[in-house]
Amino acid sequence: MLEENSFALLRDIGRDLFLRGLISSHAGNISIRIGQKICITRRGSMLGRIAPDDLVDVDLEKPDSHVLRASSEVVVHRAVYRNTSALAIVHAHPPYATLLSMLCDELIPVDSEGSYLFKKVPVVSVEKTIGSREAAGLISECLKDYKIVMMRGHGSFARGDMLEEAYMLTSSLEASAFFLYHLEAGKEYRKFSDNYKTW
Amino acid sequence: MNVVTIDLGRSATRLHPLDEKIAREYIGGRGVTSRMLFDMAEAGRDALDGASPILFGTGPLTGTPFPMGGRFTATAKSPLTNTIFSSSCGGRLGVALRKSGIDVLVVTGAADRASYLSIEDGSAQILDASPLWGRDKAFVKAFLRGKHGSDASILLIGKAGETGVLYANIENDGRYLGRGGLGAILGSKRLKAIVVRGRGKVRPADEEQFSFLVYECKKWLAANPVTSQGLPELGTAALFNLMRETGLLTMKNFSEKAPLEAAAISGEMLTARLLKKRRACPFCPVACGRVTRYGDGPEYETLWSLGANLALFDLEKVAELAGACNELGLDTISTGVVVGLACEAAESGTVPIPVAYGDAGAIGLLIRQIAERTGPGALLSLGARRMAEHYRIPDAAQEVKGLELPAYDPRGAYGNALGYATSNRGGCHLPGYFIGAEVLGIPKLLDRFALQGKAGLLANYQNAFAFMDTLILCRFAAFAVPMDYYARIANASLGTRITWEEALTIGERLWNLERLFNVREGVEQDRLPERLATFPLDRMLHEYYAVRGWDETGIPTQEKRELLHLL
Repeated sequence: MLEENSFALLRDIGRDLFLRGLISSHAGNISIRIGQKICITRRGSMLGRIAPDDLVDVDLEKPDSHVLRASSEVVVHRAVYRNTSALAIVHAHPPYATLLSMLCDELIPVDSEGSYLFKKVPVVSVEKTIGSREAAGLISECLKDYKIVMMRGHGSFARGDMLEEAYMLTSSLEASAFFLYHLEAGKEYRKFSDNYKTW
Repeated sequence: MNVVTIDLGRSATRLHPLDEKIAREYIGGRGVTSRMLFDMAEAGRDALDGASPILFGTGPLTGTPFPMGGRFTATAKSPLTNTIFSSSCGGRLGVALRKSGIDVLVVTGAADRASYLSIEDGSAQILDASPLWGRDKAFVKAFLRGKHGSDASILLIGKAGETGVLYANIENDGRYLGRGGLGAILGSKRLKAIVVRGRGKVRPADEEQFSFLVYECKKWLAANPVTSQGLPELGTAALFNLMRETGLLTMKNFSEKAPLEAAAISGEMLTARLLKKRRACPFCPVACGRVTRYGDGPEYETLWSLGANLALFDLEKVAELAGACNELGLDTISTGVVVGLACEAAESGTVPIPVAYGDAGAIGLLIRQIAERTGPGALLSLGARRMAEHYRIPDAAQEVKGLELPAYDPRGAYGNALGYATSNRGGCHLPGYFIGAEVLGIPKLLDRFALQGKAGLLANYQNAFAFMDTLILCRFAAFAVPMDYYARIANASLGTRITWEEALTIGERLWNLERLFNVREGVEQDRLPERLATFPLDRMLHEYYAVRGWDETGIPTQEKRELLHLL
């Protein structure tokens, strides 16, 4: 039974993910671990407007028919919780981070915030990017040593002791990816910036 | 890793290597010393029996320039709680031991006369301490410095350790192994002091990576206002006003909230009126230690235990009482809580002890009597639980597993309360330090009164901090340095390649080992004092045991023990 403040947290983080543009209308999924169960968003739900019916409790270890309604990525979430001490997971499709994951094998932030939080974000490749056991194995293995990982061309998986922490990592990664993309792509937005060196 | 075992009874010294499996599975510090104690200690043996060992351990950071990594650990069976008890201290003993080529010092047996140990560059001697027994600390330190050098690290007990007060502490270079009565263990061995000098070098395995991590950790410490401003400017007393304003600071044996008047003994007032200088542990940039004309401290806990708790709001008098405890070698938290219990009992007419809340003179006299174990001090020297049992006032004793509770009211932060109840060393906030999450917002702010999910989070923190204690990285580093750094710090120091999750498993192994020690000793189940268990603790414990993989009574299952190599 989900306590009111736990529901509010899931609802608010889901909303923030959508408003921040880190997911499209029906994409992404989030979960928290409560004992031997996980509470995960429903497949097909809109994270921007989570209602109580949009949350599904699934057993962590045992076969559980509630997976019928759970997010497609429940296999990844379960693997992460089984193989790590994570208590919350945020899976999002942050645009710049996802774009860079198609160009790089790891993301190394250059901005201040990112350099404090991440140092390095690994990028993993899988053939079947949605809900596959291969993805579950790779992601959960990576998250044993990193707080957030990118699945190439798909999106981010962030772990936390709290949902807010996993959301923060997702949000900060996207900010870092924005800086990285513009720097690496050489897309200088300032007019006459080429002239700065002649000053 | 090198172990020196000294048997005081046989006047024998032995140097031997540490079992590699123990080093691999427990790393150092609290881990290694706890494992060794578990293997050495005879179940049921009195903690003050001369044969009961006490171990002083270093970690992979000790002796390196890693910020906040200069501490050492002492581990023994506590005479106060009968639990396994690890205490950490910021004196220079650990650095000196490591530079002397010693990673763990084991002391067992009891000398037949007052003695002290001298260790210099790996060579140990048992020397006569007859001229020192019963003398004040200034005399003892001057004597030992004169004989062994002004740069020697000196660890010693006070009067309370000599007489066997069950919460006697140990001092090392102005810092303390405060809780659990480890001073009484040295006293039972007639060991007055340990003097160590070491001149070797300590080098990490991967110097380049180590330097990188030193740099990054210093960045984090500088970025966080707790470690860059609060603690340096105000010491741990920085917490005082915040806890009072949050409603977590209590008065009169946890029966009332501390009033506004308590601000007179806050960290701000301490800094403005009494501070002479700051004190730092080796290689620590934070320097949270305080020194006033009354001596070391007072720390936040002491300002509460001897101040607000006893309804004493005169800063000079509180500092003077703190100085008296330091000189006598008494744990200030236990002393304050025991005296608070005495005040409550005296006030209600239950117990005829001449002491009252706010009466600094009577409190000071009682503290001296506790150290000397005379008059009413004799019973009080046994701790709050035994005193309350004697007078049949169990509700008045605010303790868990025999350890008197510290300054954070459990009724105001339920996760921290669960931490008190489940702590392996008794009522203590440090093993899980949930105040970080519930009050300071580190890493994120939690609702203090929420219940769901806190059990899992607490277990994670207990595991992470247990691993932190195997490195012997100061707990205050947790305010700033992210937890996923700990494994990387270990790897740079030791040349290992453990992941963050593997580090947490090492911490979990240590936590479960400590639990098994306590089960073997028949330590009571997790609980809170009745006065303070005002929320659904049983529900939280049920969730906690499930998360831990323990049975419903809080004992690690066979499966859990197999998983952690604890069979």
